[in-house]
Amino acid sequence: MFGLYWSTEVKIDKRIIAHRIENSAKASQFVSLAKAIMLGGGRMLDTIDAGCLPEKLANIVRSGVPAGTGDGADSTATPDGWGAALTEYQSLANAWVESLSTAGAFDKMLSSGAFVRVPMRQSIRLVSTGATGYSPQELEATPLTALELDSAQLEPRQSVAMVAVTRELLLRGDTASFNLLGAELKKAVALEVDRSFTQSILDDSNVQSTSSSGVSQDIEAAVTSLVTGANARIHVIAPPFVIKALAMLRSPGGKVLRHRRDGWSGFGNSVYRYGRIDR
Amino acid sequence: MTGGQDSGIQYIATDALTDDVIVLDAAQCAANSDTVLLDSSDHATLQLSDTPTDGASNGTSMFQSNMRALRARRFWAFSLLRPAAAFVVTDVSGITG
Repeated sequence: MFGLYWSTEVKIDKRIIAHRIENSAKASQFVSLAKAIMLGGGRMLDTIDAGCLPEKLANIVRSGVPAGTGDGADSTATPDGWGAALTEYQSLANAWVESLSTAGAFDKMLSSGAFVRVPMRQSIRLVSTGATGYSPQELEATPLTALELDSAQLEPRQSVAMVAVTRELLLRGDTASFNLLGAELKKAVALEVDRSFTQSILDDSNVQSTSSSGVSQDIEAAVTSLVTGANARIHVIAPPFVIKALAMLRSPGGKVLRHRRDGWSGFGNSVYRYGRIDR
Repeated sequence: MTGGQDSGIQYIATDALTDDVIVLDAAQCAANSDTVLLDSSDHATLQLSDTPTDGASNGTSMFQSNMRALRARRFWAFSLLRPAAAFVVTDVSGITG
């Protein structure tokens, strides 16, 4: 039984690793495509003719998209085929977006599955007061409770980032210049999304706020004040200097609280709770 | 700096915040991500600045300086399902411990 469990776990791990390798390759291809688009100055066919694109990426660029009709349906194929020629591009773009999880707070939370993923422009129905069951006594009437629903809609937002580089850098075929372009593009997009994402929370007048009097106790008070359930996924999003300060928290004796993933530890007569903050 | 985890609470560092800390229950937030659109220009004139201004300003011609510009437009969405899912600590600059 133990062997079977172990075997299943290894298979799952292998699948996860294979998925990550595939995604990493696709994200890299997306950067190649971005580089080609830059070299072509927006004129993609020029880039293909110059032989700057690998064959697979050149095929993406060459893919013709059937013309649509006024009602949004594909004029030549079934409606499901609308934009099908772009799916390969979409696959690369999705892999690249997934790779942003190491560059931005929003993407880190999104890729970890912490958020509730909801289709955009769809009405969301959420339970604000759940129906409650009762255990009535004999002959006692069973109460009925209302199920109150609020509605909301997930509106798409747009974040734009620009990267400008010299043509010489683009023409260099070495790994360093390629990685530099990829890293800058990733950083620019992830940071802009983070700015907009955090600003939307800071601007929300319904969200409680307090002025700081000490970071660690403020965070403790904030975590306590959140209304959460058992499935809560609490995140503390902070400027780097705050994370640094938390990582270097010291006991009254001046000893740095060392990194550990869990548990409690005692210093002298006091007990401090601490965990792992990677630097 | 990658943040870390303490008793199930995830810490994330971001340059997008300078003076505030956001404590968030992500399970009470809806979000999604859509495609990224790429576009490029070798003729645009850009303000190569972190703080571009409207009106008259010094621009850099991509053509004149032999540069290429890439614009990435990403579509995404985020919404707090309940206001009580987040808490903001403000004015954290200079305060530690």
